[in-house]
Amino acid sequence: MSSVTAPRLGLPNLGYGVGLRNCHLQHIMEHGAQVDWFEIISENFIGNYGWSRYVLDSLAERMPIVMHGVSLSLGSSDPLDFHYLGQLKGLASAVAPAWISDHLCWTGVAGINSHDLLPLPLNEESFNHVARRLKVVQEYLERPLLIENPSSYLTFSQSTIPEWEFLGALTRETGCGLLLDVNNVYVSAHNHGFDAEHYIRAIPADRVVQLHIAGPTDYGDYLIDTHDHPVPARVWELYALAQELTGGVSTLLEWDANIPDYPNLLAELDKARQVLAGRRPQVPVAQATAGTPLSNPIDFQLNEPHVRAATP
Amino acid sequence: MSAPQLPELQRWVLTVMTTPGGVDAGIARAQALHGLSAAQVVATGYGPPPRLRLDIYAQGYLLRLLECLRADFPTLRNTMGEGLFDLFARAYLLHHPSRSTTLFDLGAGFVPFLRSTRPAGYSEPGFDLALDLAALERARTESIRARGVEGESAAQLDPLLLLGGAPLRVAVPESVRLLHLSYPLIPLLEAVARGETQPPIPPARPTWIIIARSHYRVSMHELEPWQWALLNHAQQGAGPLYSGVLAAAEAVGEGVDLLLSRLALWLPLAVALGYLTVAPLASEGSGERPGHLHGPAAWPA
Repeated sequence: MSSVTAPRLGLPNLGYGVGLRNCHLQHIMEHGAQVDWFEIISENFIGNYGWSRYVLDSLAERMPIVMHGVSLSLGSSDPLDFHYLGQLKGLASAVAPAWISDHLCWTGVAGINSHDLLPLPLNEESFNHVARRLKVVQEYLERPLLIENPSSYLTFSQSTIPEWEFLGALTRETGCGLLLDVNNVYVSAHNHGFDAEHYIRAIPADRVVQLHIAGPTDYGDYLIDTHDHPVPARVWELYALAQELTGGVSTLLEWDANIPDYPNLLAELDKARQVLAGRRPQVPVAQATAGTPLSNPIDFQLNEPHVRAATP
Repeated sequence: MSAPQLPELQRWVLTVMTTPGGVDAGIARAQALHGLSAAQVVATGYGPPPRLRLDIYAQGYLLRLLECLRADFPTLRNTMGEGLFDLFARAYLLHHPSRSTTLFDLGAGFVPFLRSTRPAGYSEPGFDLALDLAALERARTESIRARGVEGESAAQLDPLLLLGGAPLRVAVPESVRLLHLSYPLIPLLEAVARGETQPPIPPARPTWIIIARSHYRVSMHELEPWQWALLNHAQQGAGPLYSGVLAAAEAVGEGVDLLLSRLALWLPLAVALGYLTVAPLASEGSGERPGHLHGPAAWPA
């Protein structure tokens, strides 16, 4: 199969994109997308027939869309959820995404969904488990999946395989692609004491299809993947390295809490172009001020647009 | 002792995350249930200790779901007060953890849960108000995402057709929600949405509410009882308009002729607002899309 050996699985470099967020829909409909492509959170559009779905369908007619999931729970010891997979396949049939992605994680067990992207013990047992399930999912969806490295705040005593080796072996074993989140590499490297640059160099560059960039928050003893600040300098350095190693892949800016207005979001995305032109924004990591840290923010799911109360 | 396997480790972590009372209580419960200590599960040797690492996930679990409920029920939270709302929300999450792949389903059981917490024989107006608010805000959330009539051809309904007795079939879109409440709460929701922190609580009054969507805009309106009864009848299953009129007349104790005359004036507005769709009864099964009227003809017997 040619896609196994072709760079990016033979998938295109879509250019520069952002996550499609409800707070920007009106602006996008009035002023245009002004990006090359959008990434959606798949779960937000499954069973959704409202305004945001209408906007998505309109955009999908004229530009690439990528589906990014948070509920596949690939690493869970629960059985695969084929009801969810059916919904995912149905959405893919309607949206015709350039590709579908999810995470190297589990979200729950015993039927309970934590709605968090939880880390796996990385060892031979979990590798065989994840690889077996990933093959089933890819066969069901009739396409290769992209697997993203999550941010993590703990590792297991039972882990025996570094994450970069686990992902490399996974793509060789299953034919999946990789969504390399350089911010997550930075966060996890800080939290667990490994070398972020070594991680990125060790990932098979020809299997990377997409990059994520985002801004984390420094809580003193650890970093949290908050997606609520500008991308810091060190993440830009890792981004430049990843683009150099891969030869150029799709870039996606994630911003999921304290979301700026659309022009300012685009200005942040434009920094990615500047980085590839040799300029490095000197942005420090945001320092925590107050409040409880929350990784994987859910603002997008909490702000449905076009709610209007009125009396006749 | 053999190394713990993946299912055991995942149940251990989820126990730590979901046990009420904080991470220490979670670690103790996980050890009691699964026989593993934090040091046996979480790698050490670099950076923060296992307890702090687990606490990030435990705090995140509760906060993420609490934020979801707070966003789904802003007026209820404002009216109850943040402390009392969070108390009920935490209890709800403890007894009804999410089993869905989407957070949009998280609040689906909150109204029944609140209702279940009322002690038998307990009567308190504030409790009824809270139940009404929760029901109204949940219904609004559901209407935003449900299937509507957008994309279908809009009916230009001629009131004379009604007066002439055209046999019409009516259906209520999935995006419509009908509620019979004890309080007129729409102004309260509007005030909280505007950012008012202490809007006046309206006195109790039986209220018939519709939440509907038209052109992807969700609106809430107060209905007259006969209008609500007619739509409620149609919501049970699409059928002849006349059946709905008969049901409404019986429900509110008014004459059929009087309701028909009111209907002639109200139905075009109701269709425009997305409350219902109408189609000629004769076209049922013909494949013709709703919204095109034929007539006049006699009312079905």
